Amino acid sequence: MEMRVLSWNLFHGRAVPPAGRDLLDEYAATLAGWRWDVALLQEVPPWWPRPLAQAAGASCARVLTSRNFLLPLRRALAVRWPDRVRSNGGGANAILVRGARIPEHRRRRVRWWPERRLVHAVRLDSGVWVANVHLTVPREDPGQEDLARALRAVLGWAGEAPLVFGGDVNQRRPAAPGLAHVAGHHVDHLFARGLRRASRAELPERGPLSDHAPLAVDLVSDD
Amino acid sequence: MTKPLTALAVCAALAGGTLAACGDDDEESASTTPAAAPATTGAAADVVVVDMKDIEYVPRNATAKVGQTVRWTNSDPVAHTVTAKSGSDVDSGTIDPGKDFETRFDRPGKVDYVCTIHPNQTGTVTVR
Repeated sequence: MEMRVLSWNLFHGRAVPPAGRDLLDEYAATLAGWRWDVALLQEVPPWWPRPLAQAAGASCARVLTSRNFLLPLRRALAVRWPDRVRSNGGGANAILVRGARIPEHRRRRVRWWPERRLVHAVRLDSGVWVANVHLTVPREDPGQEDLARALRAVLGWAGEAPLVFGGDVNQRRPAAPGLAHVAGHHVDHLFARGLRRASRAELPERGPLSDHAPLAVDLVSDD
Repeated sequence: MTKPLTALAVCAALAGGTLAACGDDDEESASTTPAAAPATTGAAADVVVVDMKDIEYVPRNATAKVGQTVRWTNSDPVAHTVTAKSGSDVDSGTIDPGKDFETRFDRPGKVDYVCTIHPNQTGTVTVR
């Protein structure tokens, strides 16, 4: 089994430099144009996962993270003034899957404060689990406890099944014991178990979209 | 509806300066890749040592003599590779944390290499 995994923090749908307008269409076209089987997305405007998935011909699973109180109002403001509203437009993480169903979706809260953070994971038809995370790393967590907490949750869901775990972990040198580090760039990282790297990690060209580079790698079954 | 919306937008914009940590707390920072530096000489005089630390090769640009061995030491908690892009066909495979990889360069030239796990981690060895 082969699988190309992409991780991308969408910077709440903004660009660098600021575009001053809603960029859903640009993000949707960009994601749809890349080759991937699974996309782990962080800092996604909460109303974006479905149109992003539709544009890419994918299924999706979403979790809401921070600043989602009065979401319809936040959405109205963020669509009109995305670069002023910034993350106050609401937050979500999403897993998009091409060419496979999502029979199961699990989530676990990792932290309430200073931001609500969650890890979530989907089980694919093939039995592979894919987990997506966006972590805050406050000064009191030098030991990467949030990362360990997220990983424990995912290992509990996945059991012995093959697993991909990644996203924006907000650390340059994260440790995920028991998993192989298959790709990393700045604070965005991908780990795997039961799958090995079949290509160089790559940074697909994104133009001005987001303040994070997307990170992609091909994985293949160990057996 | 327009006026209350505008007022709320102003409030949100003002609040954004203090509340919008999510989008700002993890922006990409400028590269801290060190400038070219002379390679560290290992305990054995004929070995050039390149450290792999903080997702970088240190020094990024190393120099070796023809016939000299270059040793890469992984001081990171994550795996790396040393994979030539040009000038050589060297490919270390995965170098786990705490492990070394070494090879000898028998011809003069410049070898550009990359970590296939970390796309921005690049280095060169100039063989003279």
